Amino acid sequence: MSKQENQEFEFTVLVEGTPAQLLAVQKALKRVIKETMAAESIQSAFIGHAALGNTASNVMLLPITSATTH
Amino acid sequence: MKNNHIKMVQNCDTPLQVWLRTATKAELDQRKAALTNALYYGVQQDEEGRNIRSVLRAIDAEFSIRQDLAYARAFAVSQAKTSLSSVPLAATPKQFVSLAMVVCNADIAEKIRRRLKVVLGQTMVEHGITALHMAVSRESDTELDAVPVRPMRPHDERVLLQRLQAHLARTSGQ
Repeated sequence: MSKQENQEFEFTVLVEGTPAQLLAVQKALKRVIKETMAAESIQSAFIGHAALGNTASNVMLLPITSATTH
Repeated sequence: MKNNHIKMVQNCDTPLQVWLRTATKAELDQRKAALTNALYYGVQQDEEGRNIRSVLRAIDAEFSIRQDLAYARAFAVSQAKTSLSSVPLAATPKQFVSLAMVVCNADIAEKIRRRLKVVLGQTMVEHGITALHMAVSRESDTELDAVPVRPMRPHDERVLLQRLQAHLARTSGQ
C-alpha cells in the first residue's frame, strides 16, 4: 500500500468576517503553502477566494509559485 | 488525514482494522475482489488465517463508514454554503470561501493541514475572527476531514461526523 503518490488536495476555508479579516486568512493560507512548497517537493499549488453568494466553481484559482509575494 | 485520536485508536486495533482504516478505496476494492474470488473457489481463510467472509464484511463496513464521512463532509460544506448564500450581500461581516489546491503526497498534505490549523487559529485570535471552518479533501478519496478551526483545540473528523449526524437527525425530524 502506498500513500506517497501525488494527488490533488483541496483545502477549503470558510470564514465569516470583514474583507480585512478575509485578507488575513488568505495571507495565512498562502504563507503556509508557500513555506511548505519551499521545504517540500510540491508540483503545483493554486489559491483563490469567493465572496458570499458565489459558488465554489466561481473561484478563480491563481498559481502559487515560490517567487510570488503577497 | 490522521490525527492523534485516530493514531491512538489504531494502537489498540487489530492489524486488519488498521489496514481497513488506512487503505485506499482502490486497495479495498482490489482486496474484496481477490477474497470474493478465493471464496468462489472454496477457500475459507485468507493468508493470515482469517475467515474470508468476516474480512469481506469488515471491508463492506469500512465502505459504509467512508460513505458516511464523505456525506458528512459534503453536508458540512453545503450547509456552510447555504448559510453563506442566505445572508444578504450587504451584511457585514461578510462570509467567504477561500480555496487552496495543492498537488502533493499525503504526508505533505497532512503537514499543511496541521500547520494551517495552528496558523489559522492564531489568525483568528489576532484578527478577532469568530467563525472559521476548514475542510480538506483529496481527489478520488473518501477519507475526508472537515473540522471547525478553533485556536489550540484539536478536533477530529469522527467527532464532527457525530455532530453532523446529530444535526441531520434534528433537521430531518427523526
